[in-house]
Amino acid sequence: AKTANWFPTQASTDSASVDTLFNLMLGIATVIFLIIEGGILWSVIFYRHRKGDETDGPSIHGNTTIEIIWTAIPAIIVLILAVMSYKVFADMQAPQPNELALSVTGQQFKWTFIYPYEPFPDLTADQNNAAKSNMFSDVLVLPVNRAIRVDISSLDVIHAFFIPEFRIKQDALPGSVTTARFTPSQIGQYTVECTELCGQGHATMHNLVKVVSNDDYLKFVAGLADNAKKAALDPRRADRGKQLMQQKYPCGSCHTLADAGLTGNVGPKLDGVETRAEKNQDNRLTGSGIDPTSMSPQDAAAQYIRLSIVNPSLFITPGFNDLMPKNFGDPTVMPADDREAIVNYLLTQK
Amino acid sequence: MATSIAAPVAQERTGGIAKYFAWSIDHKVIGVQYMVTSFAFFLVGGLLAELIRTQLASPDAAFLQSGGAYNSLFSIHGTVMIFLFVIPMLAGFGNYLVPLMIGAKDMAFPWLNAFAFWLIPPAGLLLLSGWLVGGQAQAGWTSYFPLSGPKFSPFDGQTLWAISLHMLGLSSILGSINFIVTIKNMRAPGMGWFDMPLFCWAILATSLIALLATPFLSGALTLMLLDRLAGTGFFNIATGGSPLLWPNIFWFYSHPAVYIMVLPAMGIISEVLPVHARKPIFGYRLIALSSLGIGVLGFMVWGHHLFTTLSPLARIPFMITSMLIAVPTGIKMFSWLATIWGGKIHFRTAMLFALGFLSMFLLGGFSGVFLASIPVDVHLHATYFVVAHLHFVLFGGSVLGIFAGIYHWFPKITGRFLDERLGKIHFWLTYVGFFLTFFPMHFLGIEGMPRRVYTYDPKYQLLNDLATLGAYILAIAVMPFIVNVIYSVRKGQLAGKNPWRAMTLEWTTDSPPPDHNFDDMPILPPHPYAYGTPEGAAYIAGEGKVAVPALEHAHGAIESPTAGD
Amino acid sequence: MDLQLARTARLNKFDEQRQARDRDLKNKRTALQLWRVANGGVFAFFILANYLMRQQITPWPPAGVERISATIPLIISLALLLSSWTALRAQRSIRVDNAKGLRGFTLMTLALGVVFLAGMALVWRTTPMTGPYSAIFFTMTGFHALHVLAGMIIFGYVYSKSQRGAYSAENYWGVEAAVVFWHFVDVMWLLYFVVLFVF
Ligand code: HEA
Ligand code: HEA
Ligand code: HEC
Ligand code: CUA
Ligand SMILES: [Cu+2]
Repeated sequence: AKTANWFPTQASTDSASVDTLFNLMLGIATVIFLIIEGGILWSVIFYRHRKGDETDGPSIHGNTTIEIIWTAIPAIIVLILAVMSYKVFADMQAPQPNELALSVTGQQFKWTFIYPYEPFPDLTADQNNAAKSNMFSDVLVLPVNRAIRVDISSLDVIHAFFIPEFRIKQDALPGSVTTARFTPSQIGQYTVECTELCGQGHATMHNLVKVVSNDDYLKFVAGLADNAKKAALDPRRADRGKQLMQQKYPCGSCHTLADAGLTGNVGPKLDGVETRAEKNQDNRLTGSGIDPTSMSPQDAAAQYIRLSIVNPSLFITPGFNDLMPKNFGDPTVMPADDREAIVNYLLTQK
Repeated sequence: MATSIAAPVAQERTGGIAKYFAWSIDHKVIGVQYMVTSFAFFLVGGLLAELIRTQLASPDAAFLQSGGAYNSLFSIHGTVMIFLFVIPMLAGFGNYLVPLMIGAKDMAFPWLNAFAFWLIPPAGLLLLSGWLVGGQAQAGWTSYFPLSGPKFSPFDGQTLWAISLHMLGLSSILGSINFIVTIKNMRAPGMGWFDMPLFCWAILATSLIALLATPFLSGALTLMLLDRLAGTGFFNIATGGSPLLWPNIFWFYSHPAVYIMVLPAMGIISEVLPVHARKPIFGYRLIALSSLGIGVLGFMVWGHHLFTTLSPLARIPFMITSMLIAVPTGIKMFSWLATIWGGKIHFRTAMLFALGFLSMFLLGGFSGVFLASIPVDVHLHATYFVVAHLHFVLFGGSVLGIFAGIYHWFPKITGRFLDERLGKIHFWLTYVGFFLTFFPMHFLGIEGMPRRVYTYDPKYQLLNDLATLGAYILAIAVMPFIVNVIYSVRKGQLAGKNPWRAMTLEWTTDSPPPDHNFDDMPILPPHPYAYGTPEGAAYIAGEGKVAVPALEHAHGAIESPTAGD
Repeated sequence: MDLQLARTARLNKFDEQRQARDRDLKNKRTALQLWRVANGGVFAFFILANYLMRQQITPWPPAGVERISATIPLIISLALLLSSWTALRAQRSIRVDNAKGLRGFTLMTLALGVVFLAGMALVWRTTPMTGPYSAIFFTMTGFHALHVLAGMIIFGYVYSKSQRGAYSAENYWGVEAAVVFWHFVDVMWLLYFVVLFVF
């Protein structure tokens, strides 16, 4: 597809029609622009007042014909543009056969993508259920030339799902599910941006998109399923906690943690969090209602980290605001297994 | 009636400068108070903009490391520029000019007028004091819930933001009532609706919009305050609130509000162009009525800010109404062009700014129509393309219009001219700086750079650096203006009653006007824009005028000879 | 000749004053009309908010929350309606220069206002805070009650001025403004009553 090169790559089947519409509008605008700016320039050059001429210009108050013309022509133009826009939009929205449905969750300040899950026959129903919630990825991997439907939701504030190369944008609203449809048409790497102001980390809320061949896609999903199965069998491992913090939960958009490669700066650094807790720095234990004399230092640290996640308002680290999400205590947002895996992992950060 | 040809003399100014700092119920003093106060807020908002551009000069957050601090910058920049600069500045023009233009002694309710003004300075200080208390607001000038709710914005600044806007809203409502009553009831005897200068039509349309739209903002702000202070949860989905209530109400107010910000500026343009092009305004009636048309349509388009939010079907009607607004606005554009066409243009600074308005607002209007197309907006929404659009209409439109107005009426307000040489430097620096700052943003938006980000992909750096350079030029550009005003107020060349040989009533009285505006009953011109006619020339020269006894006047016995064309 | 001129001048002056007063009155009437438009906008906004909340929550009131009884509100609605009538009578009285009638009916209006607010307070005391249903209820009735209070303050002012004989058939703007505002508040209550208790 050819396009004026100021647009990003056309990587979805609808990109071209959006660009064409834009360029058409630009063409019309250019004509009107030239007429009006040309008229202004012409007047500026030829209708200057000459020195010494103190008379007025001609007394013309209006002209009905010409006024009707410049009312009618723009009206016709915009109505045509509206009809054309509607057509392009209707095409973009139309459901496609054989859609791949993914769900996308926005949370301060990260996107998480959940893939469809095929139950493993060798797992129990409970295990399968647990595995299902582990079909997550922080990279949006998509098969090329397959119609995609994403069901978008938000766990906290309003976010917006935007892939410039696909010309697609849709708000993620708390409490309801919105959908967006597109068909990637070019293998490559893109980004999902967040384009609705969602807080201090809004600028860094973007994830990688990889459009791959169908084979690669199948491999990727198989890998996810494997990982999910392992997670279901032994969910509370510290190394799984690390993976959860990197990929499933948005911790890294606010916290820095060298071991996991996290670099956020909205909340405190998590390096050494275990030591800080064990030593009751700034009275964080007592501040969270933990009595350090009643349990071992390790238990106290574990309890502190747990409380920091499920009820972050109990104790506010000095120098920071009460901005950590309050919904990690909700088991539908963070199942207990995930939480314990993260606690176990953070306990290793001395 | 003294003629305008008599040599200008310095007018005795009663009370000197002190009266501008005190409670006054003279609409002229209040008008100046509005203008000076809001200009101070322009500098504050501009300073914040310079900080924004400094941050964005490099992609890697080299200046401010925290997203929160940056979010406060643009939130307060947008709020200050809109609610504390453009709206009150234009209200200031309205206050100063409307009574003079319709030949009245004052506004209908002078005390109320002063009260409405004095709500503004404390509201502004309240807003800015967010930096001193527990955290400045940082949810954008749109302050969408839930982000602006108590859970995600535990900052006192957000509460102050809401209180401040509440006060400004009340001020705006009271001001509008005053304008409507004044224009409806206080016109000089014999002045029909269609004998009013177009600026008065613009203020009338603006006031009607403000009167109908602002109460909804006040209601929504009340709920916001209750949510933040009393824990009600109106916008919180978990407690049965509706997170979309706020965006809908906010834009139900704020889209009409963008016309509150541009219609009076368009009114200024309709005054400045004919005077300096020496030609009648073209299509008076349609310009007057299109203001009302824009006002009515403006209430039906708010959903175009929510094209990625609303359900797909609900977006369609908003697209159609939004695009239709191009029609009444186009009527104005073409009429202005026809006004200068064939005229005898005097290139004074006021005229340069007015021509600048014509050329730049046009671009802003076009980008608006692009955004009104749903599929195009789906790509461009919340990118720098929107930032480009809003500054082209607000800076290229309202602000250039405001400057045109200042250069045009400064001689009336102070009795002295602004210096033309400094004025031209001011104009060219502003024009070039403006274009350099905001034009590149279109391309950034098309490429996909989101707005409201404090750090970005390095591939966008070049265009951002151009914008930053332009912003620094803009900061330099205001300096000659400030110097010019301070110098010319005291030392500028004397202007006399009617230096531009204009035909609206404010030019028939002294500069600055006496306390009660007119020493005698003002005599109406044949038409506010009767340029190029013998009657008009005679009127400007002040010839052939007989003072008419007040009684006859009061009964409307003297009709203007060619009223309404 | 001289006499003629002097007479015209006197007439002019008289005429001017009279005109200024007439115009002033006209301005105030227009302004009050516009104020009702703006104020009514805020009232309408809360109705809209109420409507949108109901769209979101079914059933309304939410399960487990009891509907607020309409008995007391109905009684105080009648009181308010009656007060609109007494307010009207107050204005009628002063129009025929009956200052005593003005004072009497103003007092009655005030008394009925007190009845309304007392009844409202009773309703508030017996309504528990339960979430969205009560939140919008308190907001709407609270907002309205503030306006009743404002109306009563205006009537109180009118009463104290009327004791000093400030009003006459020629000059009763204060009374008129109070009555017009009172009718407005009354009509708003009827709307709110329907929204809150009927639907
Ligand atoms: C002075 C203020 C002002 C004015 C006048 C306008 C005018 C218009 N605006 Fe703009 N707008 C803003 C201020 C303004 N806007 C602001 C502040 C925002 C961003 C808010 C935020 O999110 O922070 C915004 C955002 C905004 C959006 C949302 C973008 C998004 O967030 O995705 C849209 C979408 O439709 C839009 C459309 C329009 C249209 C159609 C007009 C029309 O009125 C323009 C009409 C004018 C013309 C078209 C030019 C002259 C006409 C002719 C010469 C006739 C011939 C023309 C044609 C046939 C095309 N505007
Ligand atoms: C009338 C309205 C108006 C005006 C005039 C301006 C003027 C400017 N704006 Fe503004 N802007 C908005 C309204 C306006 N803006 C709005 C509504 C938003 C959206 C906010 C949001 O997203 O919530 C916005 C957002 C916005 C952004 C996007 C931020 C983001 O999304 O991350 C940027 C970025 O460049 C910007 C830049 C500028 C610049 C460089 C100017 C320049 O024109 C300013 C020029 C400055 C001066 C002329 C004054 C300089 C003076 C001094 C340096 C001296 C100061 C001295 C003292 C105070 C004593 N603006
Ligand atoms: C939106 C930003 C944000 C996200 C996302 C976030 N946090 Fe936090 N976090 C904060 C802030 C701000 C603080 C400091 C204030 C406080 O103590 O509540 C904090 C504090 C903490 C603390 C206490 C640190 C100390 O030094 O005492 C821990 C532990 C923690 N977070 C863990 C996590 C984990 C695990 C996740 C992901 C599952 C996470 N956070 C996600 C913002 C965030
Ligand atoms: Cu999420 Cu911005
Ligand atoms: Cu709009």
